[in-house]
Amino acid sequence: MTELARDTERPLEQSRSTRRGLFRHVGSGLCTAALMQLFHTEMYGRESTAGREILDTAPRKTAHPASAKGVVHLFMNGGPSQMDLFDPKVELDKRHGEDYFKKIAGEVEFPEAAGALMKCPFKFAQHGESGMWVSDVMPHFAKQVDKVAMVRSMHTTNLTHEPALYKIHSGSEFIGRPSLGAWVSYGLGSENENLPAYVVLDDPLGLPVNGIDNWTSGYLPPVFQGTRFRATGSPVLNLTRGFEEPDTVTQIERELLGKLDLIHQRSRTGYPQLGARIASYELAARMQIEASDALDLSRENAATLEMYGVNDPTTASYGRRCLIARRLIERGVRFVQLFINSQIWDNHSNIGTSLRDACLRTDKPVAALLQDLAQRGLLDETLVLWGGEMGRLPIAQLPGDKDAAKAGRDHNKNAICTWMAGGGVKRGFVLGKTDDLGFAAVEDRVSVEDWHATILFLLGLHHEALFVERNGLKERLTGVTKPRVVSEVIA
Amino acid sequence: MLSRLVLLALFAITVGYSTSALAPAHGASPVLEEQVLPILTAKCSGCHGADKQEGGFRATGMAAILAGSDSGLAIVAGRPEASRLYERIKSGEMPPEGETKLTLEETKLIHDWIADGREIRAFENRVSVTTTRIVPLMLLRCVPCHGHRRREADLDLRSKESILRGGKSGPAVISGKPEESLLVQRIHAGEMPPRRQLVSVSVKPMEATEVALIERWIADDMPHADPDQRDSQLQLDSLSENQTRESERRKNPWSFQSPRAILPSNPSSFPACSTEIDTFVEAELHERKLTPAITADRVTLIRRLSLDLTGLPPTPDEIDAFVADSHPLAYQRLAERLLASPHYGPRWGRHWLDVAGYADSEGAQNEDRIRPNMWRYRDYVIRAFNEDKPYDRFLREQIAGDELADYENADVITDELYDNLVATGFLRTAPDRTFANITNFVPDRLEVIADEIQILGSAVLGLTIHCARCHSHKFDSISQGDYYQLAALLKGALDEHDWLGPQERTLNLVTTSERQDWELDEKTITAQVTQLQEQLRAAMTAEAKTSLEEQVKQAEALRRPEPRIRALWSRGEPSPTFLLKRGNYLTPGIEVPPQIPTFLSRSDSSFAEDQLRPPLTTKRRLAFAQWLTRDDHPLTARVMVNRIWQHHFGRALVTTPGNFGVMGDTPSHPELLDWLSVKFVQDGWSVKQLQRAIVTSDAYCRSSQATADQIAADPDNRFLTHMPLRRMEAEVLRDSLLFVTDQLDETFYGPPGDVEVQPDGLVTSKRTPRGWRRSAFVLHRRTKLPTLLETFDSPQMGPNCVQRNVSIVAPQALHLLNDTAVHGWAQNLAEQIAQNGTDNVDAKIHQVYRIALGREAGSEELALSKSSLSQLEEQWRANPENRDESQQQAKVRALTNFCHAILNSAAFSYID
Repeated sequence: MTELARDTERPLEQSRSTRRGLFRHVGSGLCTAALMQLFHTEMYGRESTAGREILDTAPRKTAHPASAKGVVHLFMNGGPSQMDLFDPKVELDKRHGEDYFKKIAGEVEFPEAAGALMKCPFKFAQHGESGMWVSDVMPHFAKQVDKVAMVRSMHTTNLTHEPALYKIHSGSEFIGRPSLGAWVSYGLGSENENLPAYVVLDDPLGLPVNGIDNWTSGYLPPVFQGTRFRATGSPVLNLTRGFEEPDTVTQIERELLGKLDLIHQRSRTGYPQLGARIASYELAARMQIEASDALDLSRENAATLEMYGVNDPTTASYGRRCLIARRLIERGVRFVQLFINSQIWDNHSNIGTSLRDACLRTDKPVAALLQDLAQRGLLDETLVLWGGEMGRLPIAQLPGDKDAAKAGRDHNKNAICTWMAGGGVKRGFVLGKTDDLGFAAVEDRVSVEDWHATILFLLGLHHEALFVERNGLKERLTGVTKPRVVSEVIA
Repeated sequence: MLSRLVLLALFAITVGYSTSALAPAHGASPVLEEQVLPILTAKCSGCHGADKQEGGFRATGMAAILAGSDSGLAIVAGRPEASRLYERIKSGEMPPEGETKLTLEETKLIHDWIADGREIRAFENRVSVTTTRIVPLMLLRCVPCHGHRRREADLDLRSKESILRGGKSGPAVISGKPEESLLVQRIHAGEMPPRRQLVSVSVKPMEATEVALIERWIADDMPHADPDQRDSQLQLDSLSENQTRESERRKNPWSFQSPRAILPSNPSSFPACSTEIDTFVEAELHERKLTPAITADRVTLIRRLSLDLTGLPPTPDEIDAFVADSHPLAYQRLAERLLASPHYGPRWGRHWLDVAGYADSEGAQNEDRIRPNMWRYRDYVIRAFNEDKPYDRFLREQIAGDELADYENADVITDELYDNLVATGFLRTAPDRTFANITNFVPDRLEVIADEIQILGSAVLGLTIHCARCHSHKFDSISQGDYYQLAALLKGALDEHDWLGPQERTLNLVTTSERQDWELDEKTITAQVTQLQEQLRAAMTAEAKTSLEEQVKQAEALRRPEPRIRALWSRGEPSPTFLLKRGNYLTPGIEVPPQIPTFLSRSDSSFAEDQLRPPLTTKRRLAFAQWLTRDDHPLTARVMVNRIWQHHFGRALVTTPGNFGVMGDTPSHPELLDWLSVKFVQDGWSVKQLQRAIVTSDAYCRSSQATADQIAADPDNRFLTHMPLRRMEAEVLRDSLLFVTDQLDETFYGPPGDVEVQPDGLVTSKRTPRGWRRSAFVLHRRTKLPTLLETFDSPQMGPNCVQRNVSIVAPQALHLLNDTAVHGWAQNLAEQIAQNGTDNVDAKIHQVYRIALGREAGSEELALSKSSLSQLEEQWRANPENRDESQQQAKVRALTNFCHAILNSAAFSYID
């Protein structure tokens, strides 16, 4: 293990090694894809160019049996308000209007705008056989509650978006660490050799906060980075020619290139990277076909398109991405991550309308994804994650004119509601409690590291065993912390 | 995973708690003395006793246990699960493997003693709180408004004396009377720190436990030092001693001994060697019965050396001249020419910018705000390499340039003074989010400081010093005290309690000539504008007015912002430095003085160091830089020599260039590394002199063709039987593409070339009227790195990069095949060839080969290229959209495809 991890840190070109070395690496159960790619050509020689088994990210054995094979992460940038969606607080209704700011002054981003305790503007009801509480802004999700495990007791470490986003995506409040998806692809590889292991479906309207850093591979090789698929047009950057020329011409040029590269390789023995490079050119060509196919929604029937809200302008954009997520999961992509432009859940003002708008855009597509995965038998082996980077405060945040009707809520790092579904997670289950006002998680607290460790566990990985050596440190997603796998949510 | 047995045992312990056998703590028989200590003495004192304190922990009595370890608190009254002492025992970690474990009963007893907590609390209440504990608290919660820079109500809360002196409202504290002390009253009333202004000054309110500490401190008459606690210096020494003992046990690494220059015992046995380097390499090969490859041909050599030293391929004329040069020193002369090329600086400066973590933006926040004037540091580095600035000088300027000369009283800012100040940008490269109040709290600032220390450690010392931020280093003899001593050395400029935001880190100290130029420009523009405005007042017609207004606007648009530099400088009155237990700013420990590091001279090192150096007051960083650049420093020269070697050979002598510690690799050629390091220092720390020696060695000039035997015997090419084939680094690839297609804008230095982001996310550098600028001069914004560079492994700085990855992934192929710009460059090359007039297809093919690959096409390549070219022409002519085009146009189009293929080929991006 140590040896393997060291190899990944060295420039890959230097990792030239023997076949025996390869088997030693493989025997350890975990091998980086890029290395695999290098060794592959060495092992199979010229046959690899036939295109049968050239791997971008080879699938790897798990540390223990996995209950989830793939992940769809529905990331909700901004900090969805827990007490207005999933965690009703009777006490907050009762004490509405009471001054509370001084007790939590250090936990407020905009102290000058802080108001009194504020009740939820929406109505809560219990749903499903589980009787899970959901407010009336999520009517579609309310029908799917028996499929999910709701965690009401997550918390994070910083109340500002950027550090909180880095934290939830990479385990550290700082830039430069590999994201969760990168770690998962590093640990598991991909089931589909013609598509990236980690696909990001960002919003055509714009990037989330922290932009492309959210899916970075950090210090892991770029092969583990999230690849952005665009929902319209050419799905991957440079996947198609940026200039006009007849296909026949392209074909002749590619053939010439292939032959020249073979001549170049032939006279240079002992350099597996040359074979890997030829393979990467061939993969590029195959990706062009497979990626276009995965994104072709014309193959879906009318009922499915309707279910995801693809025909309704409000839900069309997010609906398309949820549907594409299902198509990618079907094709064996390991980690699919969905983003929405800017921060629709960052409801500092007018929470009564702004939070409702955020739900209108996402509620129906999210519910459709759960239902669709379940009806196709994919939910059992797919872990669906929903949540943001933080929660919100029980007190109001007032606009400049102090008009309570326009109030919203400020950031809160002490309580987050998040849910998980499928992939070995309990169904219709609620974990954890916040205090009477919903300010902080008090029972069964789940840290971000705990959440990461649990996701890895469900995927058959162990947070301690998944590391890369760098500068003398074993770098892990969960760092030097000792997180717990939240066994309560595991079925 | 805990075994089932342990789980059961734990269950038993938890359930058993209600029937505790614990004796009453408040009675006459103290539990610690009679029950707990005997267990700890029997099972733990071997490593945590009076003689030995591993991890800084002593289990000898209540005070010692409460003092905790390097890792922080050992016990928390009433909370066994938060008590490291109990947790380590419970998890089976302690006592370690091979030692006698505690029995279940013993473990339970410790659990119950902590859970009960009464005895511990009683002791805690007896121990007085000292000023050492209170000062960090004041710094954290009060000093931003009541300190050195700001003194609200004329109150300074930085020391016991100033607290007693008080401010406008009288003394802040009345010794012995917490309830009568204004300080406590204001805190209790919730008035201080003022709640509505918390974020604007980046302060958090005081915790209840912290107020309690202050009250106890006042009640106890504000004692300076606790009689029960050991003096800071003693504690620091014990930390170092422990660490030394630890490293003796693990053995200090080879790298902590000063290098010695010893040539191989019998150099005469290798008479064929051209250089001293080769005698070392040959000795290793000989010992392993390895045969080196033959010398590469001249065409290969000039391409290798040009790309290596300048990052650009040779031109066909240069190749011809070199191949035809019959002078015996033709190769040496080539090396001289390339070392003197202005293009050398951008290439080798870039390597340094990697380890320095250079970027043109702050990062960390979504906005990824531009760092104006950071490019001056980039220019400084590139110039330093071009001028072969001695490495010791280079380091001293970067670490302590502001302390090298009196810039504050200088009448004229000379080039040298300017360089000294701009160089300090080295300690300003970390990602930094402190420009916004909400992300400018003390822990945010500490992250920036930690990053700078990590950069300093990995780039200059080749050590993982940053590991000692939270605990003494697990492998090297670096104690946590050493880490905070280093932090104290930097404190004059990097002070988390006296912080300059990123916006405030500039000085208007550009060279006097640059400043005068700017002032002159300003004057001219002002004069022009004044004149235009006079005309404007006199203007009669609306037309004339509009025209004049337009002219004013145009004139104003020519104004440039005031030229400023970004720097780091000592600001006087640095705050005291405290060791932060577990790296946590909320748990300050002993005060740590600023002292020159001693960790290298512990144990059996030959690097003698005065252990009893007094703490430094001023010019701390200069003293540190002078220590670093001592001729006999074990690491500084070695680390740099290793880095230079790595870039020439693609493989370093020590393959962990950022870690020369115990966990790092050992050198493949230890004597060679030492000999080169000593020579490097003797040659006045000249990088170019070192490179001259390296590139003229036989080892460097070998062919990249390895035989099966060589590969079998030495698969990693550790012993240099041949030169490894290498892919161009991102910048070299981009610059070479531009260079061979005649699209390189050779404008050096100055503000970076801008980048643009396409709607699909593609990031490209902007074209200038002359082409595209070299990659080193393109804007290096963290979130907008040009896609071509990023795809080919140009690093994300987190916080720096000591060794790049070389990945081979499909997006690289996609970029080179499908990107519009790359295609456009191929077209440029094709048009250039077409204009040269020759109609001979063979000649054209050879020409493309010579320009792009530095050689003529081989016979098989020629035949393939010819047939492809004719097929391509045919297809272009047959294409209905091109019917109207001339035959010549079809030829250029076909040639474009051919050039595009060549630029995509492995022969282009791989260097033999």
